[in-house]
Amino acid sequence: MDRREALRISALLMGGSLSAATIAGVMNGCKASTVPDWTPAFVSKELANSLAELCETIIPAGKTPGAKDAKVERFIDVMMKEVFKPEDQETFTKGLKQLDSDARSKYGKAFDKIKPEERVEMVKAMDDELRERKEQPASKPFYDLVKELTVTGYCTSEPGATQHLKYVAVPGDYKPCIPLSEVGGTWAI
Amino acid sequence: MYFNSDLQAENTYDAIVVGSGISGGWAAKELTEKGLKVLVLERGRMVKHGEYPTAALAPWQLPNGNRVTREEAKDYEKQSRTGYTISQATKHWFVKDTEHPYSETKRFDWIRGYHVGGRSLMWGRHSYRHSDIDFTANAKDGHGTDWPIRYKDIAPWYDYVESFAGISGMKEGLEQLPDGKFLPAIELNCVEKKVRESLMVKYKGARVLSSGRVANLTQEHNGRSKCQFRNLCSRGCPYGAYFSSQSSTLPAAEKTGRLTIRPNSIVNSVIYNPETKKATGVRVIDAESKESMEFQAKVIFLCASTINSTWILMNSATEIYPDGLGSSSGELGHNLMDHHFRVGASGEMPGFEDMYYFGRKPGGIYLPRFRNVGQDKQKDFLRGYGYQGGASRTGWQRSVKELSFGEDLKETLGMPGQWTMGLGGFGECLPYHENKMTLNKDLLDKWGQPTVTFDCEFKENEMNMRKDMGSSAAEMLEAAGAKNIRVNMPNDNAPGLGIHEMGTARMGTSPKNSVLNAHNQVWDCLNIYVTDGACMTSASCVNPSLTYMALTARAADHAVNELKKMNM
Repeated sequence: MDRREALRISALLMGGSLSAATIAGVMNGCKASTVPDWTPAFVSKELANSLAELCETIIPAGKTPGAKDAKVERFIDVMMKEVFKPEDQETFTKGLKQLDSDARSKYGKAFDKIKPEERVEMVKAMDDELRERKEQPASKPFYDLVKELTVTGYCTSEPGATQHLKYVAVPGDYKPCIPLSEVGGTWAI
Repeated sequence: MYFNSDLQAENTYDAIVVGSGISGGWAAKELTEKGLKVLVLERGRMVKHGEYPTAALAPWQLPNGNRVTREEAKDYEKQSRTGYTISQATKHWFVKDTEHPYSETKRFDWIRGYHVGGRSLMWGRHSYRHSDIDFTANAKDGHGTDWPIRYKDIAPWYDYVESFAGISGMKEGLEQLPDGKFLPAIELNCVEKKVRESLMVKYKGARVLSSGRVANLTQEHNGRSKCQFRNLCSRGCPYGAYFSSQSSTLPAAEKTGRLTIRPNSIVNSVIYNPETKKATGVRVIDAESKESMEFQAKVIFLCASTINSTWILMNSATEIYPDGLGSSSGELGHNLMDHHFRVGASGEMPGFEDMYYFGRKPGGIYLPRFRNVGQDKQKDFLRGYGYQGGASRTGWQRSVKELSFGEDLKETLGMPGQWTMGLGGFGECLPYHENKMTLNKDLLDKWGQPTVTFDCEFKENEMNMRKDMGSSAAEMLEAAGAKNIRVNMPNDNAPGLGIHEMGTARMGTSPKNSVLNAHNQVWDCLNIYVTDGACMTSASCVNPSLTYMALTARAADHAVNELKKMNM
């Protein structure tokens, strides 16, 4: 069944009672055809795991899912291929290669093969540079692109939105002022 | 004359309504309910209530993070100028510029939706009454021509359309923004309430931050469900909880059994009989087969949207009226207006750290006009502006510069950030004769018809007003205790972007100064009514759709009475 059609009918039939969990169920039921072995469309196959580990270093799994659980690397791969401009694509491809070769020259291994704490050290250097930078360059640097896309990809993913953030598909009601403790976190939308 | 009587009978109706958006839907409802057999001609495809393909999709179900691909974007060069219209969630409601081109002597952002329901499916839903300050503005300061009506003429029709459409709002008792027949308001949140109270004290009641008056139902209404607070309105509402042609007027018209809707029907021109000085029908091109055909009726309502209703009149030129039907005053196509906006201020609101909200409200606040009202007198500009906006807590969409990485980042994302409050102005644009649209016969559309060229700009009065819109917003936020206030005042705001295009076939007091009379009839051809934004004599600063609804219902009542009196 077409997933959009499935959701449309669910929403019409169930009215306000349609919950995030229900939607998730409908979605997973229809997504069975998803290929488990992912073939990247934009990122080179050799660097796909490095990208995934970079995203995971930015948003690691812990009490809640991390970037890899949310398949953020796939989101970034599609966004780069379909949405981003050629100059951003070039920055991205160059930056990812550079990261990998930096890992090799510093630790003797590809970025995805080095120790997690070594990855943290490399990401910290890039993150410090981003946060301490006074003037924004004309086009977005590699790490800025990856960090923004990782946050967006994670927070709009199902695991990120429903498990790390708070998501209610159909609130049904509006309460303008309630204690934050009743919500317990950030609304995904 | 009757060379093909069968076909003639088949294609003959009491009334033809061109367009099925906010105005066309109302015309269809009113005319059918008053007993007329009505044909609605819609240039775009059929969309039935509930056929909203993205309405129930979660963020992760929209491809590419809800952004269009580079390839898709090529079709929407002008429609994407808003920054929010062309997304995976809503792109199917907007025309492809590649299929519907137009030209710009000066930049004009013409944002269109060609399908049954028109822009009633994705409108902003803010619904405000014009006041006598608006209806007398042209007469008082000499810009444009006087409206042929006053508030008392339209007030009962505002009551009537609000009662049917369902407008939620707060009564405030303001001269510049008359109260209406409201459903319960969507409540202000705690920060908005604080700002309201601060402004009441500081400006002694002259500046009132109210809940936006929106066409979203806060309770069940005329068989329609109440708002579910998803705030996904522009995708189409499966609950019918906001006013659209699909949820409201077209079902009412259908119920009479006297409605025929013909989608994919581009009205090319009106057929005018110079002997009777009446229109006899319209010429139509089938958008898919490109076949030409004619339909006849006693009365015609042009509700095709501001630019397209005037386009039809201009394209209905005859020897008597070479510049188009209704052009004898020289005003057809002129006095094009829009609201200027994208100017205002935002700031951080300290406090309320332990408060949040549940549900996503579909409309923010409204802060009505206070300039050149009552005791206020501005020397740098005429007329005024209102603000929309609201308070919310920042979410995960914070700048990555402010965010760390790793567990720290996750922790930050997991809790909402500080409260921020924003005020964005919508300002009145004066009616300038030289702001105009013309037919472009050098660029034809794919049906061989002339296209539109815009020559329209905001001028000194609007620019001076914008400075005040920015600084007053900042001043009010400061009075309410905001910190780190930022004024937003872009200079590239071109007309059209407000998607409140108005004028081009204005109402007036005489055939010499206007295209339409006090009942929205074309002076030169009285059985044509134009009741969409084209008819507007001045722009006010409030969102205009509610006024189109009221004027359409009023004009339909007039048309049916005229038919009864055999004046048509």
